[in-house]
Parts: sequence; C-alpha cells; structure tokens
Amino acid sequence: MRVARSQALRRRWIGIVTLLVAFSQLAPAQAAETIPIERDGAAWSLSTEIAGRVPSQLGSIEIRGAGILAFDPTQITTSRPDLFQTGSFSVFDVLVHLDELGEIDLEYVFDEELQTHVIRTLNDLDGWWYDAHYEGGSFDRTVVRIDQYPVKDGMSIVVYLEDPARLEAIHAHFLEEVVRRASSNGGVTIPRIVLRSSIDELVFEDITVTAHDVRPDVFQPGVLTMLDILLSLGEQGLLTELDLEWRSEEAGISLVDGFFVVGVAAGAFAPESSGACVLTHQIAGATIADHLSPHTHTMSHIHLTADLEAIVSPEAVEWLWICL
Amino acid sequence: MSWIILANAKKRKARVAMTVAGIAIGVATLFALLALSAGIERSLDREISAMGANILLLPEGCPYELTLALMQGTDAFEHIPVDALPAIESVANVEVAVPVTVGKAKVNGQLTSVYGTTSQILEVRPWSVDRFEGAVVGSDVAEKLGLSEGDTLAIRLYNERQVPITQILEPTYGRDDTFVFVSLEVAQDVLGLPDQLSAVLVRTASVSDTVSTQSTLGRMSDIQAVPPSDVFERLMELFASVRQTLILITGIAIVAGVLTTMNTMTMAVYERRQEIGILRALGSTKRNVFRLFVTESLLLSVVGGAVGVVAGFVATLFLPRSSGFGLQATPVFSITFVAICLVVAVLVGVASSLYPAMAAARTEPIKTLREL
Amino acid sequence: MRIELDRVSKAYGQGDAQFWALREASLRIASGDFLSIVGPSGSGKSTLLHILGCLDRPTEGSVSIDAEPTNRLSDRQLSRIRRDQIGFVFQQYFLNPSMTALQNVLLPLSLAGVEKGKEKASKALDAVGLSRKLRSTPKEMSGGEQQRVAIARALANDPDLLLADEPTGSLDSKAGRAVLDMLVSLNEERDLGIVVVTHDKTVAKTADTTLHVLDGRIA
Repeated sequence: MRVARSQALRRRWIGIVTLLVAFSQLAPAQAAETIPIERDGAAWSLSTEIAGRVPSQLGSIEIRGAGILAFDPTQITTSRPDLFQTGSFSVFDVLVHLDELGEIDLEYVFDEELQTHVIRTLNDLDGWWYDAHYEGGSFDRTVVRIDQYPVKDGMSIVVYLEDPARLEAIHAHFLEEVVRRASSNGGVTIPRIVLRSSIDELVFEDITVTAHDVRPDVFQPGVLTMLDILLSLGEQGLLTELDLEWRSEEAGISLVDGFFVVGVAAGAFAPESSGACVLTHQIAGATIADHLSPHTHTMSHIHLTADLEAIVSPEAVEWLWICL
Repeated sequence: MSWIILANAKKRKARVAMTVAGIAIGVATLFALLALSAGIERSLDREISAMGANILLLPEGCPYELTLALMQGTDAFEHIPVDALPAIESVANVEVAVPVTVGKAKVNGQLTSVYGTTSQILEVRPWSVDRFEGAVVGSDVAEKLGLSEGDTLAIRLYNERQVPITQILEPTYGRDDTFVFVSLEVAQDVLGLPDQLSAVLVRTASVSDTVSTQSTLGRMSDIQAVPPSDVFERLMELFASVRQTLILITGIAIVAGVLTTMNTMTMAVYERRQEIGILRALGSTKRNVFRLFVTESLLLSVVGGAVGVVAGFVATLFLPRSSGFGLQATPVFSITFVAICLVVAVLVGVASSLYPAMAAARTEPIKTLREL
Repeated sequence: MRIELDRVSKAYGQGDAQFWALREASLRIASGDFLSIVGPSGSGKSTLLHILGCLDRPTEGSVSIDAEPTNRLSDRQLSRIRRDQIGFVFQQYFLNPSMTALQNVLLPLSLAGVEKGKEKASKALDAVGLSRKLRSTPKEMSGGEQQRVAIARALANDPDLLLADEPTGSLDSKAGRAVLDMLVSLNEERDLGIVVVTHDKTVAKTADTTLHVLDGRIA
C-alpha cells in the first residue's frame, strides 16, 4: 500500500500508544540490565535468556524515485534462513516483500562470490545501495550486507542509487571477505583488530573468531557477529575485562533492544568510564576505508550494536571507546 | 665588505650554489605552505560567503557534514520538509529564504551536481542573470560537456527531465562553476526527493538582529540554524590538522637547510684556513674574522631567500589545486609572505653560520701558516 | 719601534712528545735594522720569526715591544700591533687568487677597519713597482710579481718592521734578486726594520747582520 507520510506517522503513533498500554500491563521492563559473562574454563558465554522484541509495527522504507512505502513486518519472511530465526528478517527482505506485493519492480540474484543478495534492477534502474538506522540513530553510510541488516520497529531505511565507484568498492570488499574466509577453510581470522580510546591504542593481529550465539532470538546458531570478536579476544586471554549491558530503551528512544559494551580493558589499555561511555565498532580495511562515513570524530555505530551486526570475514575492525 | 664576499663567491661557485640551494629549499617549502594555506582559507571563506546567506538552515544532523555536502553538491540523506518554508518565511527579520535541493545526477550522461532552487537564488548570488528559468549552467560544466545556451540538457537519476539551457554563467572561481541550477521541482523530481529540501538559505533584513533570528529559526522542529562563519571555523579546524602535517614538513625542510648550510660553511672555513691565517697575521682580530663569515652567510641567505621565494612560487603553480574538501584553492601571494620567508632565510643563515664563524675566528694563524 | 726577546723558548706537544723548537733565544731588533736569520730546515728560525712578529707566544722567556712585555696583552691587542706595526711576507705568497693585486693588498686593511685603505693600497703597490698591475689577478703575474704584491700588502699600513719567511724560496734567481733589492731599498729609504729568515747564505748576506740558528739555539 502506498500511503502518504502523515498517515504512516499517525499509524505509528497509534502503534506506540498501544505498545505503551500493553507494556504497562506487563511487569515493568528494566531499561538497562547488566549481563554477566560466564567463563567456563576458556569458553565465554552470555548467561541470559533476554530476547529483543520481534518487529510488529508498521514500518516504512524510503525508495528514491518511488517514495515512502509502508510494510507489515508480520507478513515478511527472510530470504536468509541460514542467518535469521523465524520472525527476524533484513532490509532486503522488505524489498522482496514489496516486490511480491507489486509495489516495486525488483530483480535480484544471490551472488555466490559475494555471499549476499544483489539488486539487479529496481524499478528499471540499476546501481542501488541502501542506508539504515534504528530509532534515535542517524544515517552513517553503512557497508553491511543488505540481506544481513536486521529490521526493528521504528527503523529508518532509504534505498538509493549509489555513486558507482562506492558501490564497486563495497562489492570488492564483500568479495575479499568471502575469499578470505574460504582460504582459511571457513574459519574466520581477522588480520587486524584495533582498540582505541582518546589517548591510547591497542592492536591485535590475526585473531580467530568463533560464534557464541549472543542473539539466539535473531540469528541462527553459529552466526558470527561483531560481539563474538570481543568474546573471542576474552577467551584468548587478550581482554582482562568485558562488561555488557542489555538496554531495552533509552531516553527518548522506545526500542533499543541490544547489548552495549560498557566496560573493556586489555592489560594497560583500560579507558576510564566517566559517565555514559560505550565501546563502538566500525569495519575497516584498505578497500573500504575511503568509502565509510566521513565522520572521523565519532563512529556512529552506537545503534547497530555489535550483537546485531553479522560479519563474514573482515580485514580489520576498529573499536572506539567514546563517552557521550 | 661586500666586495670581499663577492670575490670569494666567484672562487667557490659550487659551494655558494649549494649553500643557496640548501636555504632556498626550506624557504620554497615555507612560501608554498603560506601561499596554499592562505588560498584554502580564502577559498573556503569565499565559498561560504558566496552562498549569500547569513543563516544556513539545515536538517538535523552533523552541521558541517551537511554543509560540506551542500558545498560539494551531493545529497546527505537528511532533509527539511518543504512545508516548513512558510513558517520560516514568516519569522521576523527574515528577508529572503531560498529553498535548495541538491544532489548528483546524470547530466547528458555525466554525473554532475544538480542544484534545485527558486528564482530567489538571484537575490543571494552575484550573478548577472535576469530571469531564473530552465537551466543555468556553471562555466566548468559548460566547458566539460561542451554546452551552449539554447542546448537541451537531459537530467536523469530516478526520473528524467529535459531542460533548456537559458544561461551559462561567467566563471565565479567557486563551486557554482560546477553546478547545474534548475528549478526546485525539476531537481526534486530527478533526485527522487519530493517536497524535500537540502537546506534553506536565509538572509536577514537587519544584520544586527541575526543572532536572535537564528535562535528562533533553530527552535523549529527538524531544523538547525547555523551561521556560515561557524561552519567556516569548524572546517578550518579540520584543515588545521592537515596544516600541522604541512608545517612539520616545512620544519623538516628548514632544519635540513640549516644543517646543509652549517656543513657547507664548516667545510669552507676549513678550506680557507690559510686565508684566515694570513688575515690574522696581518692584523685582523678574531672578531673581524667572525664578522666576515657571518656577513657572508647573511648575504647568501638573502640570496637563498629570494631564490626560495621564486622557487616556491613556481612550485605552487604546479601543485594540484584541490584542498581535499573538493574545493579549488588557488594560492594567495602577498608581500607579507615574501617578507616572512626572507626573515626566515636570514635567521636560518645567521643561525647556521654561528658555529662555523666561531670556528673560523678561533683558527690559530700560526698553525695554518706552518702548513706547506 | 723596538722588539726584544729575552731567553725565549718554545715547546710544541706534551709529555714524551714534547719538542723544543727554540731554546733560550735572546735578540733585539729596532726600526732601521736589517737582520737575517740563517739555519737549516727545522732549526727553529721560523719559530723565532713568528714569536718576533707576535704571531706566537713563547713557552718560556719574555717578549717586549718598546719595553712593554707582551705576555699580558690580549689577542686583540696583539692583532692591533700586527696590523699597525708589523708586516709579514711568506714563501708561498698566500694571495687570494680570485682578487686583483689591489684587492689583495686592500683585504687585510678593509677587514681590520683601516681608513683610506684604497689609497694606502695603491701607494704600496706603487712602492713595489706594480702600479701598472693593480687590476691583474695572481694568475696573470709571475712569481716575482706575486711576491711583490705580498710585500706591498705587508707594507700597506706603514709598519715599523717587516718580517719575511723565506721570501725568495719559491722564486728563480733573477726574481729573487729583484725582491731582495727591493727589501734593501725599503730598508734604506724608509728606515723599515727588516728580518729575513732563510736557509740560503747568499740571501743572508744581503742583510746587515746575520744570526745563525741551529737546533733551536742562536749560535
């Protein structure tokens, strides 16, 4: 259904009110909850049964040239059952769904070399990419595979024609990742991981990352996420401290539902937490470096949390400790 | 004294050339740095003031990223809804509020910045254009695509529009030369941004009340009001870190110059020890000798400074013009820079000559004269 | 002007490597005297000359100029004495090859801040018979002419004493003869004190008095 923006907004308000009413009937949800990490010998795991809310509200997606379209998340199934649990799906799945409804004309293919779905044409134009952010965040020129970016209620999505040079770099980056993973027999070893604070920097090289099923509510077992990098570092004795917090909501943001790293230390690298501090992450590497957000004074990855960013086999990942 | 120095210089042309070159390289780097920095500053300043607005209304988000996108003519994903315009115009002291939608689209097949706006743009830009109709094309674009007035432009991204060129602008030496100006409606259609604005350029009637107008506008939802000078300052801060690197390089070049000169002079002192011996035997004091060498160095540095300034000038002509903000930055030359460079050259010359001159003065005449 | 050396000794080096170039040399020289100092190479005659000319200080003994001992004088004061009262000429001439004869003579005067340098320089070159070669460079002159430029340079500031270390050593006999004749006439016409150090007995005979030096001692 093609609806005007104000109507979609109105529906969202109704949705939120309903949600609030529903919530008020339940036991009050904690806004933030410390999640202890279980260390069983050398294996680390999260001891929690917490799950995030499955998308249930009418969502909206902006497709340039077509306008803002609404979608009902309960009608969407994922095209990546290898990644997502039932009920969870990606930005790409929204497009597939809209195509099935005849609201857009989408031609796509699963590119084996890049290990992701690629839009061939959308409404007869080619060269598309997307950007997205959750409620409370801002667009930050994402390079996450479109069929891996999980959809949540209240999310903003824009699909647009990208600069050909940038799109090419993104695809080259994907190809590199797949090749790298294949050359290490399917295991994932990250050549370079950087931990950075405002005064300090620590570099790890060639770290093997294993899955810890941090979000069994969203991802299938065995799916690697950014958070697994930190847990793997911990298991290898390279981190002396890792403190996680589950946040379900924040000031002004009704739905957060993610893990936040609120404490980290690795030997002498031990940044202070003065107030609201958090460890953010950003993919890096030679191919993709020039095509990321030009923001260098902050990594705006606060809202796509580490537990929800699935990884394939990046060349480098940088973590930045920032205090808001 | 100068005839003594000239005669000595004639005898040791290679040595003199090396000393002059050592100083000239450091000075050339310094001159180029000064000229280019000033050029970038001026270009940024000109870009910002060329917007014609004293308040820039931007969507919510990082203001200087948004301004940079505006200056570079690309879309920034955040927008102001067009229905905010009446409210903006009704704010007291707002004389002109120019809506703008920008983004890159294929113009005759080439990816070019398309700048959608209304005829109010004529009130804030110093163009000699009578009517804002069809497409007004910047001089660089016209040259690159081989366009003339009367040609039809095919502008395409999400939709295609054919627009006749009504005017090609005279070169402004700013970003406007790289834009294609069309009506708001055409830009929004092509760019897939219905009823959305990248920015609103506001000019106030009374400049002294700009600050209060700015805060009123800033309070409107989905909008932030930014004075262009603020953005300029913040962009300059960004540039400052680039400049640090350039200063470091210049510093290294100058230190290299000092060391080269010091070395060359020390060698010269050794070679001229018999000459020094004779001078002392014939009654020159240590101070006379010291002064001779320092004066020699001073003259060489002035020459080195002059050569350096010329070399620096030539170098800037060959260096790339972009500043990394996607802006063209022609170097700015001023007498002050020349003066600074000459002073630095003299200081370098004097500093590097002190040790060798002292060594010269301390040369024992008797030792040098006993050598056969 | 009168220079007196009283039991002057000069040693070079230290400890075991110490070498006495001069031992207990005493002599007196005044304006108008023409003295030659003869000895084989290494006998210490050049050292004696240098100490006479205040270019070097004795290790032992004293040097006085007009009854004033020089050991208390600063380097600057000694330089002034060399500038105004003493002139040096060396075997190797030590001319600046990129300067003209006039410039060579003018150089030490300019540097030491002497007034009317140019006048004095041309007068000195005139006195040694080179007024036609003011603008010639050393390359354009014979050995004899170059030495005469050196003499002019030593004379330019009208010294009381001229000290010459082997002035004819690099010249052929004809040129050498010419230089010696010049020294004689300078001594007679100007009452200029002259000390010539040489190993050549013929040269030595041109002087009024001869001192023999052997192994650092005056015989």
